[in-house]
Amino acid sequence: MSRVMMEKRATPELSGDEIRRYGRHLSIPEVGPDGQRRLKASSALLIGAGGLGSPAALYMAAAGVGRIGIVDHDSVDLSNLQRQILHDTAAVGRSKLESARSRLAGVNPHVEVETFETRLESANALEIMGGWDIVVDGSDNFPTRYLVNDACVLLGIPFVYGAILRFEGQASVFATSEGPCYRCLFREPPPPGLVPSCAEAGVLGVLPGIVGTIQATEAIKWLLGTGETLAGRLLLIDALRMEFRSLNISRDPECTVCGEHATLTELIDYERFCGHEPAAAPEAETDVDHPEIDVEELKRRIDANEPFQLIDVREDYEWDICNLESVGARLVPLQSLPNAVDDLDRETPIIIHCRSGPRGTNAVAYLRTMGFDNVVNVAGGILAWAEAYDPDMQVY
Amino acid sequence: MTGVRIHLPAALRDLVPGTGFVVVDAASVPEALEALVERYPDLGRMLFSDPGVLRPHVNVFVESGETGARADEGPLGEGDEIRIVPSIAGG
Repeated sequence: MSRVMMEKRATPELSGDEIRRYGRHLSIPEVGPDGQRRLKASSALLIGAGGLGSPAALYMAAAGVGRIGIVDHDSVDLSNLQRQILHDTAAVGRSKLESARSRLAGVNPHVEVETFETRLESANALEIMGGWDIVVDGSDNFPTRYLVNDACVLLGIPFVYGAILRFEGQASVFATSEGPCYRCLFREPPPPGLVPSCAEAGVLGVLPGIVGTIQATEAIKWLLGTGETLAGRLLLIDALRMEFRSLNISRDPECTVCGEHATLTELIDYERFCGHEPAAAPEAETDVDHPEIDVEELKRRIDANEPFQLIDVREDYEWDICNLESVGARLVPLQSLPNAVDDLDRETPIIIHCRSGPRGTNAVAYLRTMGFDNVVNVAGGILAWAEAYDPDMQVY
Repeated sequence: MTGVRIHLPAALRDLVPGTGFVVVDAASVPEALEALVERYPDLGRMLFSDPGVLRPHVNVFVESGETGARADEGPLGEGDEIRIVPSIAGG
């Protein structure tokens, strides 16, 4: 919804309890009672209840954004708790949305929380995302980021962008009526495996706290219609140096989704766009059309003494925690794979594994582009192996 | 020719020893990137899809004082710094 339409919307009264709760807002000229009522009448959809979504959801709920939606399909994992402050130890194993709903209800019972327990996909994105005043993107992968961008442009809804890696973050506001969109800045995704994810390269736990609160700030400013948002600027956050840089960005006239002659008028297959192969069935056999095998198939090949090269694409420290060296695994971290290509035997099948699967998928995609046809990934990675065959293995 | 500081993102710092920037002698952004890749060849594959063609997920900005804008091929000004900004997806 445009700001003009939002400004014409009738705003509800604040109850006595709400007046007390939002007192520090009411005394800010840029918010005041009118702004607080406007927040109460507004809505925001969060994509992901993870590192970025956690602080964004908490602060937007605390601020009194009237209706908050959250899309997520994951459950809380112990490794999430280092940064995903919506969730606590007691929530491990529970749905992230259940955890988020109860936490946000505790923060502010005046806020309506709507949850969508599903993976955001082209088939459901327009229906889920339609009708919200603003979207806050806290997703953790490139296909979803391009999907969120394109859906927001097509729906005419701005979104607050945030992304993190190690000590660095990026933030902006995309898809406003005048400003650039995500594709104007990043025309295409990187080839699979070229840019590491947080699971691969790590992230400082507090970093999403910084970037997610910037996202919440931008969303609240947009809903209030006050201040200057990050539309047309890319904010870079370097927590290692504690530097913030603002870079000017503009709409790309040749952008395929928001440019003058946009060709992208409906949502596409974003997994394919980002170079990811569609997931294979668990019972898939090894061939070029089915780049995954399950751990049972790996075990069968080991037991049958079939020839293969088992490549672990995790990092050194992960190898030290647990590995499959006893069944012939060799460590080649994903980032080092290009340098190891010449050492791989092109005649012998290659089996890739990582911790849980995604890096292996990227490694397979990369090796296939390098002409390796007989290469597969182990679905579920070493975690699936440990669960099936080695329950005493130290996992992480 | 003058010393130009090129700031590298976290995603590329594993390939370059030091503290996140490299100083090269260059009069323009293309010259600076060429000098960077010559010194650290592993960066070439990360930044370029073909010789001289930046990958579409990589942006190069020139910072003059407090402001930064997308780089062009023109000459760099006194004190300009270059910042490489690839897309990252973590959330």
